[in-house]
Amino acid sequence: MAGPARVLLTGKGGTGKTTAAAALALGLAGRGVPVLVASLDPAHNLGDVLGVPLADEPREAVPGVLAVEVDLAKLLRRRLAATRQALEERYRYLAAANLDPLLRLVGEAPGAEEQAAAEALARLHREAGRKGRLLVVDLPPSGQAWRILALPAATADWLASLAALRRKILDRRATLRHVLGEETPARPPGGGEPLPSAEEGDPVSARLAEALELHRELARALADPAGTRVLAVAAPGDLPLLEAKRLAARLAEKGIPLAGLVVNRVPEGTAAPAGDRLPARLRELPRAVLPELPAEPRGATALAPLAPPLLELVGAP
Amino acid sequence: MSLLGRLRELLAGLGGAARASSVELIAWEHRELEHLFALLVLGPAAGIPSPASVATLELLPELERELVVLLSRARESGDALAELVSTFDVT
Repeated sequence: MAGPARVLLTGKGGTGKTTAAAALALGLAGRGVPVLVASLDPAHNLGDVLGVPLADEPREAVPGVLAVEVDLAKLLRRRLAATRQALEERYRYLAAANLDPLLRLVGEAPGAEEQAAAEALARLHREAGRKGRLLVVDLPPSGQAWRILALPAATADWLASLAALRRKILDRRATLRHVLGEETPARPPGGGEPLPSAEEGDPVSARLAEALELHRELARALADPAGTRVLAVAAPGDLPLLEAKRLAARLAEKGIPLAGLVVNRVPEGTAAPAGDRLPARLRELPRAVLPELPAEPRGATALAPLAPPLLELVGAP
Repeated sequence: MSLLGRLRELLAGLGGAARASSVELIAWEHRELEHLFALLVLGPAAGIPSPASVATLELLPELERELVVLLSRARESGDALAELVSTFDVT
């Protein structure tokens, strides 16, 4: 497939990210490119724009377009509930210890929602790849989006450090077992089967490796300008453009290039902000100018006029 | 016993003692690494922000031993001197 494998849209709140994402998804499907379009914005309205009710599992909104509204709060709640259940099933000696406050802390910690969003994005990326679909993501506003996009690389680094530490622990266990045999201190509390002393057979290493792979895949994909297009959506006016400029700077710091600027709702007959009216960082970026429509576009027919400039911007086949 | 025999016995004793103390040292290092691992994974509980607390959450069901070690460590932390004396085997 020529063109990108992922298009991620963000920008100042209310500039029409969702509208642009929906129009692009429909335009791509119209050209025969199967699409998975997902909204990670907690204030979902992808379903409203497409004119089809959506859920937190992908469903076919129109032929060729799978759409999903990811519910981050629900995702976090589910993760915590699954962990709690696993704890109850596995822990024998800590059954009396109350780990609920810890789980609550993790769930409510600052950044937990961004972490859940980054993980959801990683899973969507994997799913789209598996299904051979182009992934279009409607991200939250730029302030939250750049943090989400920076997380996969940071998470992968952190998990790689944890995995290295884990290997050290296993190595010491193996040494102790070699010298002490059955007397090894690497036994679970109260006896029982000896603890694992090699990566094979160590469930902690296995889970770490799995999570590391998931985040690393996305981090690599985000840094690949050929496969990923991150677009800033702005409306005419200084503030949305200044926010797009800041987004470009912050993403550049993380090695993620901003691929284009979408200037939305440009009234007919007015010139789109161009050349010296744009902040320097945005001047060289490829641009798509979307016209202001008489009414808020909802549904495939109303969105159709917005698709061609977007398709050209992302280099769609 | 010949002088050579005694010397051999003495050396064997010294070797055994050295081995025992290195094993103790590795066991101590192993325990400390386990503490560190648990502390990093459970950082949010101790007020240490973790960039991946949600991702590492699923390690928790496999970390019973580390938690037991960590909790016992927390209980003993009031008696740091005793811990130090036992670590260096001072009698």
